[in-house]
Amino acid sequence: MLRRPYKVVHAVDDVSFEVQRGEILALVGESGSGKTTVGMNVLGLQVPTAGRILFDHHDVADWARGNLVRGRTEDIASKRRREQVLALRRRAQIIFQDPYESLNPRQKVYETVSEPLEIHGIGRTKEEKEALVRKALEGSGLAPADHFWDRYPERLSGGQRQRLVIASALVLEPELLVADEPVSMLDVSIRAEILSLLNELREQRGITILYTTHDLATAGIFTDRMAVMYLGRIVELGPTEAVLSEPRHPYTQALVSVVPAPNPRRRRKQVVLEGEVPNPIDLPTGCRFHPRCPQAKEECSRIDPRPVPVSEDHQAACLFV
Amino acid sequence: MTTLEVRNLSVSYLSEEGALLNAAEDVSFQLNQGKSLGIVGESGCGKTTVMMALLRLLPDAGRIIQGQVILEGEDLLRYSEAEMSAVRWSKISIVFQGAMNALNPVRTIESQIAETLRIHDVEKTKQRERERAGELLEMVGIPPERGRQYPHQYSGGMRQRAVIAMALACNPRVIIADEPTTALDVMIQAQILKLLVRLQRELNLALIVVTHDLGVVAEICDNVLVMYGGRVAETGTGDAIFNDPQHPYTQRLLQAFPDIENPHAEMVSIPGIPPRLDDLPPGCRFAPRCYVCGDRCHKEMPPMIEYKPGHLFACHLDYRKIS
Amino acid sequence: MELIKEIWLAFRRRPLGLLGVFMLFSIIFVAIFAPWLAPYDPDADIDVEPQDLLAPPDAEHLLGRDDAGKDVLSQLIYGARVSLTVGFVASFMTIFIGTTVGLVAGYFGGRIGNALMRLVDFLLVIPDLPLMLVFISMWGRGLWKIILVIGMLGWTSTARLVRSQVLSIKERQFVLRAKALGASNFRTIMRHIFPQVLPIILADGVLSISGAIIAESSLSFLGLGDPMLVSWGMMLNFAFERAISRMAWWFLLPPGFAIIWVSLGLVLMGSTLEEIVNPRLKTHHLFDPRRMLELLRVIPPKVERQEVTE
Repeated sequence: MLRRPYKVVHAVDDVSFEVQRGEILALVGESGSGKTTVGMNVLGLQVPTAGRILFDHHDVADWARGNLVRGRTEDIASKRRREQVLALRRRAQIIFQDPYESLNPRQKVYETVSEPLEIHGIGRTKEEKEALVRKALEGSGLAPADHFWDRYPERLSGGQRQRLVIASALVLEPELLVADEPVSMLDVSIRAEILSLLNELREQRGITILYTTHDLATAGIFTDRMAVMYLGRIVELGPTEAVLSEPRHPYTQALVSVVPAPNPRRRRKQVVLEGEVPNPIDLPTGCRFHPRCPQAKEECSRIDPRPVPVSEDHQAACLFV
Repeated sequence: MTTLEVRNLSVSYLSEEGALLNAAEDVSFQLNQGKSLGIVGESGCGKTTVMMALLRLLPDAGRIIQGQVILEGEDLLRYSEAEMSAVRWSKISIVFQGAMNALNPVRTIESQIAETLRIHDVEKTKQRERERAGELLEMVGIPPERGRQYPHQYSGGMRQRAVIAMALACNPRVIIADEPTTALDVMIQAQILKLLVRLQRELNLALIVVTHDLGVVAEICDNVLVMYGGRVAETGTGDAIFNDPQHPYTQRLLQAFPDIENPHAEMVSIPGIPPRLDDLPPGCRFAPRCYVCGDRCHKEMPPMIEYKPGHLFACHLDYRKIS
Repeated sequence: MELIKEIWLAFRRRPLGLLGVFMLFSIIFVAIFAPWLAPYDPDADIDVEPQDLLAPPDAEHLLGRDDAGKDVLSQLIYGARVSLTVGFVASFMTIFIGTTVGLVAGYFGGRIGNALMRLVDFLLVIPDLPLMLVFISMWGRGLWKIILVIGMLGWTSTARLVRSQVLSIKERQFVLRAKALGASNFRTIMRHIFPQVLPIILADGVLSISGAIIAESSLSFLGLGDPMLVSWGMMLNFAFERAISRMAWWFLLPPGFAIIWVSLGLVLMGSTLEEIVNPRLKTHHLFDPRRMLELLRVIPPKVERQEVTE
């Protein structure tokens, strides 16, 4: 058999970060940054090539390597494996971006929210299950629950669908929620509601949230810390306010400068980068950002910068921070 | 002279039962050459319907009930279909929403632009067509050599530029851009907006940007028209709308818009959802969700009040802005 | 079921589909009520005179009599039972096997999927009818053997269809979400993937009934049908052998016509179903033309003209 040398796409390369319980971390980046891949790996929905993902001291990465078949999700053969899967899934859930695609169009609201209970064997009687479903629906703002009980997703608005997705995740009482661009497909006037719901979940239930987005402004609203990603690397990491008000990495600076402001009077100096995020298959040498960096110097094409602390909890991966 | 003036345009759709559903009612605005107008509203507000009506591209069930669309002095609504085809693309063209995903995958970008030229008989020879396609690509920031590539070889941002190039093919006076930056990364959005501004300046275009994204409108639009439930809620210059909004919907919408320089400002959202076409409220369309509405608002359609010259809004109440 | 309701509503707007339904159900009606509709019992022994053989239609025998003196009309009516039984049962088998194979091959892929698809290819390459002929000849004649043979060989196209649908459905986000919730493979397939494929299977199923009926008729026509039962194909067989020379059209035409009638009905129904269940294109959420699409109707566009006022 002939084997061709193949190129590897480093979707996520040497990414390290920590999230404290009850914290909301924003993972900000454009297409090709790797943010969604990080989210999927954290939940054990994909198999990482290397590295560890410690979820409350259990290594999800290890678990994924043992339980997932490369290229496919979950090939559960043994009962023991199945138990491990369920144990993880119960504690960590995901909200996807597209509320129109992430719901089974043939499941009514009640079925959508009760399915997780059935999968995990929670609730012994019908009444118990219904009570839990009701609680979850109301906790996500779909109240009165009876109003929505028998509806199909097509009768719900985008915001309502997203709430339904949240309810179905909530019903398991997870500890960690990965929200992958949960509001980018919703109308602006509804985004605040959903984000505020996520914030509430953190306040009231102590759920830890990993919020991925390409929209810096929404990240600024309710997240505690922010990690900015570019081409598979974290280029800046720190408290959200600090990163937004005093960005240190040129990429972050450019991003912050082009976020549209709802005020035409505010003329800012915009740094509109030329070109596009390069194909991850053909990574630039040295600093990955240097071809587009307005502040790039000669060294940047040779040296790949490690994160440098800017202050005690704020770091940036640039040679000239 | 005002390049485009729309007066009291109303568009409805004929439902299966034969009822007329009012998608847009009594919409009026003006646009001058070299200026840009942003039409803002959320899903179902009727903004795309109005644009389709301008170009007479409504689906079969669409009906233009009343109104005038006056382009350089002529009412387009009186034109026959043949006359309209002469106007489309050469006087008014449009970048459709999602057009960048609707490019023909088996033809090169250059040939697709050339096709636009051919349909409108712009150039005499194939050679000239190709050259012109190259010029257009360059105008939108794509190296002309890349014209020979296929859509799948272009990134999202480049495809959007290509579609803009097609819209420019026949040197129109007016360009409509329907959600030009949705689904694009924020840096690419900035690039496209910068491009639109440049093109508008260089070609002295009259630009209409239809979007739900207030930020886009704030960046590039001179004037703003806010639509809700098929009607005009407020209209004025960008400055007026953003800094002195009068209509409760506009105010709330602005408050719901995240401001990166003021990130921890209170998050506001507007409870409820926009009205369905078959279930429109009899009075003000926004009344069910309005935080200052009174009895009259539910029953009577509010008049357009001129708050300041050029700044109008449709409301029953005369009240000061709530902070 | 909600699905049936939806489909029925869509059918109501399509006259050809309704025609197909009528055509099919008329035959079903005939088959069910055969004992009451048929003027004679085809199995009964009768006394025949030589002039009764291949007698042309008259008041007592509306479609005349066959070469054994039996009433053609009654045979035709009872023949419906055989054709429909074979059609429904064989096609049910086809759908069942094909769907299972398609679901497994599409969902799991890998070696299982490949193996199954190679089997499908193998069976597809071999021409159906000759293969059926071989089996029946080796195995012997009989109604259930015919049903089995048709069912066992006809599932391949369904399998292919289902598999290709599954391949695209399993990439959809709600399937991923189900897995993220912890759904087992079985649940994912049955609760999430299968319901999406079901409408397509229905459409394919209806069309396959027609195929099964034609297959049975062909086998019977070639003399391989169940000798104990009268089926339309068998009638054609006898008619061809014995009636043509006598120009006994009343024996030859009715069974052929009946086969055409039921096949046409099924095809009309089936194509209408196919059209109804065609997966619609995804629409961008912000511009929701679903509302507009719901309202589309074929009415010539009209623009109300107004006078330009200054």
